[in-house]
Amino acid sequence: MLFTSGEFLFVYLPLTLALFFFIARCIGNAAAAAWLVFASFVFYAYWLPVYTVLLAVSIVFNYTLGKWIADCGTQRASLRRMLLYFAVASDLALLGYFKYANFFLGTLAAISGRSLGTLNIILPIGISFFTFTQIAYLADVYAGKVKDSNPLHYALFVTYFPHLIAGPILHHAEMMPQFAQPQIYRPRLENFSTGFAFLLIGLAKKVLVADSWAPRANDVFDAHSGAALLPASAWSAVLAYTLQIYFDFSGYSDMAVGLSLLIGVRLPFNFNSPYRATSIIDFWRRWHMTLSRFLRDYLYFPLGGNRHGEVRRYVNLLITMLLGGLWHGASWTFVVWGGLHGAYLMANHSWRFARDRIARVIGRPAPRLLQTGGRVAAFMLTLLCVIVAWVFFRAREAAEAQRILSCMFALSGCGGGHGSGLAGGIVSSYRPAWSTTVWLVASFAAAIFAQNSQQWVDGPFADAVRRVSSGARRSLALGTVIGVEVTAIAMLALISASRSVTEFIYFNF
Amino acid sequence: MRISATFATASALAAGIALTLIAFEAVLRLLPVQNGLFAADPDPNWPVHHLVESSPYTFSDAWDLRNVHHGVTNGMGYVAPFEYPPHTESIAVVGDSFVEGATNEYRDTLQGQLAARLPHAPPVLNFGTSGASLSDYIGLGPLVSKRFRVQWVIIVVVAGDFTDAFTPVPGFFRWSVEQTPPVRLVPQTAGNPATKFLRTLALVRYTKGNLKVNLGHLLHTSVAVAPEPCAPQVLQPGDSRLIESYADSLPAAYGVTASHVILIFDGERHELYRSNGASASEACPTRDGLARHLLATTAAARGERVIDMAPIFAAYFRATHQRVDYSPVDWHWNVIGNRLAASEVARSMNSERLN
Repeated sequence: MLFTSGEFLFVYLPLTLALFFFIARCIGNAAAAAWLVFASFVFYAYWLPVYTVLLAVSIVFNYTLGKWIADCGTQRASLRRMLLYFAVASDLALLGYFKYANFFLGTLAAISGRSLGTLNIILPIGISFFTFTQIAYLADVYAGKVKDSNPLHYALFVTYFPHLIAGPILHHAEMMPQFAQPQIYRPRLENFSTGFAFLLIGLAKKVLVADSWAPRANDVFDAHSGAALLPASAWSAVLAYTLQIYFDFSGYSDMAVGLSLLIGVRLPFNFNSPYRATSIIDFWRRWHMTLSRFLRDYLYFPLGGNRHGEVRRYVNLLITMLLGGLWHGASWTFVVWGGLHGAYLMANHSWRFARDRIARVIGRPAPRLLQTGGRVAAFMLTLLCVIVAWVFFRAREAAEAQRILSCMFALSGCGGGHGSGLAGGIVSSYRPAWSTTVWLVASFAAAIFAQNSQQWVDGPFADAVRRVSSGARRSLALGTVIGVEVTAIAMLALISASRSVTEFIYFNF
Repeated sequence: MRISATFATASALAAGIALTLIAFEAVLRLLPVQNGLFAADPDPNWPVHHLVESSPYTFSDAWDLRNVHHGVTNGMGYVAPFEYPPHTESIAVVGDSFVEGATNEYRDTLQGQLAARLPHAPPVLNFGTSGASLSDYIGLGPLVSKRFRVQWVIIVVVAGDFTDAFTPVPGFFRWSVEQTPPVRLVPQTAGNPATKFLRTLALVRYTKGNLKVNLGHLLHTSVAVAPEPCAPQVLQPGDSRLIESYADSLPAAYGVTASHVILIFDGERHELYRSNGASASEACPTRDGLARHLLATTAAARGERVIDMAPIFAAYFRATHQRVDYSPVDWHWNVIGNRLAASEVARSMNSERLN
């Protein structure tokens, strides 16, 4: 079920919430939590019912193995380690079969020059997300960090519908304790007003911006490889995709945060204005932050992090980013994307190392003008690097990405054809090039300079909610705000329904 | 105390909803949302679906109100900036919304461009109606030929035109194989006062006209699990007979000779654009597509003129990379699509004069 769809917003969500609070009030909190698990399975089943079995088996398997690992205690260390390896290997095998089997077969076939065929596998939606959250849980059980082992809370932590399909990637330590708090089982107007605010912003990002840029990107990226391309068309499509993926995924994440807040449960934020970054290191602290955290804690640190010298640090960075790329999808384009970011990070760390040494030699800070100029140049270089990498992320094949990049930088690969300015490619019947350019600049300006959703909702909006909450007319003020939000959400849902179904990009991962 | 708080919250919620709806309505009234293209009440003199006569209209499309056009319907309730003089020689252009013409300026429509290409020919009259299908194109014939002296009839056939004609819709014709021509008019009904009130609201017009959303649509979206495999369809028993009867009856319905019937078949454009003009794979056979193909061959065999726009659109797109429509939002022909069609029709008509 899509968060933007009518059946979710007008049927599933009101029913789930109403019954959740009703059951909590009439039967008890545990029953309400169980209802939420059931409702989350229904949410998942709406896409392909048969895969709910896979989800259920995965939960039971990981919880049981986690319990066994915990029960081993410190005396039977080797058994504990074996159980952990077995559980993680099983999870990775499951992920490998569903997500990477055809990728490996294709690669083997390309190397051997023999046709090996493909398996008829439909990728279970969200498998990367629910597998990784459970691997993290197992690793923490092994490390003795898990405090709450309530099976119901565990099931809810994995299946919790706001994050089930495309994250954020949750950590049990930040979720399971929240499910134990009695206040989440009582409806609160403050939670509704803040939750709907996030949902509204997320919907607007997805419906009004991301989906509006999608056709422009698709025109070039989905076109036949033999099609003519102009530099302006290539730039237009790549910039469109740069906007689409940010507004799509951050919009989805805002919606997830907002939906969860309706219940009073805080999800971690996934984005913090990433296109404002002034370095690639900074970018990864702002983009898909829960994935960065996961890769850092469960891959980069176990590999040794930066504890074994600069060379090992760079190797670890590269391995982490290559695997992070492969996590996104079973294709060499994702590996190249991850490799590019790994190389960027290596260059960034090297530059910092060199810059600090130079600064020590000079012994005084650079003039202010130079510092400002340096920050602007760093911002532009970072954005350019990110944009270049998106070409591999979006392209179906590496050769196609190379062709688009060559065309963008007017190296080669451009064919004939017509088109002008940023409206190039397949010529639009609607708008002159200037309006597209204005809209493009406005979208980038919003992504870079505007307050992001958490800054706004948790800042001025939350202050306003707090002010009215403490006043005598709390119910009237908050009720009106919620009425406004709900109506605006309904209007955005209508706009979304007026288009053909546009899935969230991260549903594929 | 608790009840009063709940009541206050519910009242405030309702007030918030009402305020937002009023704000939306106020803003939309300032913007060019669709307006004026409303069905007229039943008229015994012209008992088929047509628009409210002599009504100013605004056309715009999609959520962001693109492709805005303003105009006035004529005294017969069709989109044309002039009145149709009765009992005069005329060229009738018939079709659905492709011909109705609200999506383009009148001069850019098929009929507008055709008239410009045929300055010495009789006036070109547009009888396009959004929602019409093959059954309407022939059902209109006796009505049009009774009121005008039709010299040529030009019919634009698009996807869905055959199968849509099985669905009974008030004010439109539906298939009726036992009749000649093989269609029957479903009696028109007057719009009820509630509907007429609702269409005065900009919010309703925006939702229905621009967004084209209905309840079923809103509550039935799903994520595609895998591409739909091709399930080839075939013609149903009776379809061939229907098509043959149609092609046989068409000239007589308009009172013209077979050579003065021109059928224009729209070309499939999704795959053309998807492949960026490089190639076009075979479409999955549908009953509707097969029926339209059969109509093209049958009509040609009867001496009627048939124009297939598919190769013309494909050649143009390969040469210019310009779309012939407003896709991906709206697949109606734009000025280019209409120009290409008008050129083909004019060439076909002129070829007879030269001969």
